[in-house]
Amino acid sequence: MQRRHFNRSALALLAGASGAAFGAATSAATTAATTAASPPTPEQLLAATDRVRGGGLPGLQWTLRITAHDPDAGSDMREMVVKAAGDDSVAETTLPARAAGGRLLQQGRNMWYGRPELSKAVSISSRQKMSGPAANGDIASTNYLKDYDAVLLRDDVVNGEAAWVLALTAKSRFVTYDRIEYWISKERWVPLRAGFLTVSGKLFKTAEIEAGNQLMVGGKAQPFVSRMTIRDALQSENVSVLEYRDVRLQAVSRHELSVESLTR
Amino acid sequence: MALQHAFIGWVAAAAAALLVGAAPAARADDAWHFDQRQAVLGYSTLNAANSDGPYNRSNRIAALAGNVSTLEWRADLRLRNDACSAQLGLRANLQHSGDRPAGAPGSAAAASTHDLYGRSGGVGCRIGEAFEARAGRYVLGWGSATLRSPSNPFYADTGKTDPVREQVGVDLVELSWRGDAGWSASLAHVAAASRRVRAASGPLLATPTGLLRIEKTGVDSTLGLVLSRAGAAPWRVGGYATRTVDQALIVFGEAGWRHDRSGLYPVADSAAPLGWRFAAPDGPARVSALAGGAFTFESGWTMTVEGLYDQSGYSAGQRDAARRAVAAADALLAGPPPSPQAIGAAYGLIGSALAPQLSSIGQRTLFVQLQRSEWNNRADLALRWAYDIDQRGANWSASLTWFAAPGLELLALGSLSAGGAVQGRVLHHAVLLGLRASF
Repeated sequence: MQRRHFNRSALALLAGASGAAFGAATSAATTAATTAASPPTPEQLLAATDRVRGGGLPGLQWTLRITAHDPDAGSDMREMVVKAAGDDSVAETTLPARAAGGRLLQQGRNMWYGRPELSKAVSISSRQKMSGPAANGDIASTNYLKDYDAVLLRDDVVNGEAAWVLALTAKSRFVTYDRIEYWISKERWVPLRAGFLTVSGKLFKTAEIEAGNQLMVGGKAQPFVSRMTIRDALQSENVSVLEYRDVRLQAVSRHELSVESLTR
Repeated sequence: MALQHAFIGWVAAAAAALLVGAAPAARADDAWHFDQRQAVLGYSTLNAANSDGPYNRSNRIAALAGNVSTLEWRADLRLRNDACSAQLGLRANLQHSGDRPAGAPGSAAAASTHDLYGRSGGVGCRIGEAFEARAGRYVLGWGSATLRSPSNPFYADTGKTDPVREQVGVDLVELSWRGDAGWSASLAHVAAASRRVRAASGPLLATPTGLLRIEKTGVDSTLGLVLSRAGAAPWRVGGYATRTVDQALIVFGEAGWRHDRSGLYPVADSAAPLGWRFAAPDGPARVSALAGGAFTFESGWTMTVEGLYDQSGYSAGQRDAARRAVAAADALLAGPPPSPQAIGAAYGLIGSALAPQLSSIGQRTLFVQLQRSEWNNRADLALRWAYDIDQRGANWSASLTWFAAPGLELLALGSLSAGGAVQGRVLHHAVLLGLRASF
């Protein structure tokens, strides 16, 4: 088994550099060429896959549909428009009608939920459930590079595609998941699969990830996640499917990412 | 019915001024988007009055209807582009009260009312990247507390404990600034608070009021300072803080310091008809403080625990005085038929005791809430327990919102008061059942 560990100072350096380097390293061709020349570090892989999920971009908007299937409770669908800038994001529910107008705001590690008819937003934790096995922490952009220490565990194959498997360990108590096993395509540098584990290493949910969207950044096409299927590990019929569409670069104002905006 | 002309005037004037002033901020290619949400609610509330106690003997004081049926229409309209937004929240309702007590002052066996009003509305525009101005009717809220918001001069009640009732905005003009490093500030002039706000919000700062709020949001925390002043009255100071401890735990606190002259306190007065009166003394500044935390379990249930200390509440001596004053009035009403003047004095005394214009009667309150959103994709559930330590009384409540169909919810609420709970003085228990259709 291959096993490499990288210290935190190197991670911090890469975290800071990832935003600036973002424009230069977006195409799959570039990453594939890098792969051929020298094996990537786990941090390079996390930086690339974070971008595929919207991390580190200055302003981004997409529409997200979450369909939850629960054998006991049936199906539930909701749709939201997500706006993200840096570490902050806001997701406004548009469907179903009963939940329309509800907004979930993430500012750093703080999260709030608000609706226009509430007088003030409610502070919530990332653990609070959104719909089915999906947690609030699943819907916004991610920054695994910043939040996790990474170790390259092994090589694997996912649906016929060669992949690296990284072991991610949370750097702080704030993240939604304590440990993650993360499958990344060797050819495309996009996430393929994730296994979410408890501190003790018990698998409690999995995610299958597709990166079928394309985003034009600096004139270059960049893959963006199109579908994520999150499944309860103990009850495999309990599934949330997250579908991403209408992804585009879009400036997001500070006021849109404020707590006050949640109840307006 | 009142479609408040002042409110509409505010919105119109503000819309014109702000749209003209901030129009340059909107880029020429900004498209306007219109969105709207509407809901129709129909619900019935069954009330069981506490008719045995001195505060509402035979339900003659509060004259609570045994059942109240409400049909309500809520429309929220919003027009926005990248820089500006205009919104309007219209509300209309029809209410029928039945099974009202016979003989209560001003009562009839049944009564119907209707209403149409603007719950919120106004115009807001960004001015450059950092500033935003808005004018109209808005609800002002901040902090993380659920039970009370001691730092808020307008909304002591947070509006979080009732999934049916909404709060109504105050009429204001506000300029806010949001900086790069998590700092923000807002300066507001609150011109008026409607009678609905006055009826629902407990002690209310007089208007017009100037309000300054400064907030700092860090990576895992938020701190805020609130200064407000109504005319030449002393400044009112408030503060709030929230810290995200980890992925499941949030802790928070909130405090307010004020010279509040709106509260009514019992005073022994031999010249008063029953030897007692309620007065609003010019007392010292008083402090209210709340501390709490919310923890989300792996199961998705969230438990919130809050402790409130409110110096404005009655002291032990004041509680005893209020009890004796009400007992005197109750004894008079229970005895041989008194004169109309004496009846009026007795009702007035009990009425003052029931509505002392304080956010809480006791000084110390403990609040626990167990809440689950999206339980099995089927329902929102909440159980709440508020215990007035000084009055030794508890109020239990539970709410269920069942998602019957994508646009249809079943609503159920229940509350029960026991011991010396403030709510229990007039109402023993209540049950609400209803439907909400959203489209």
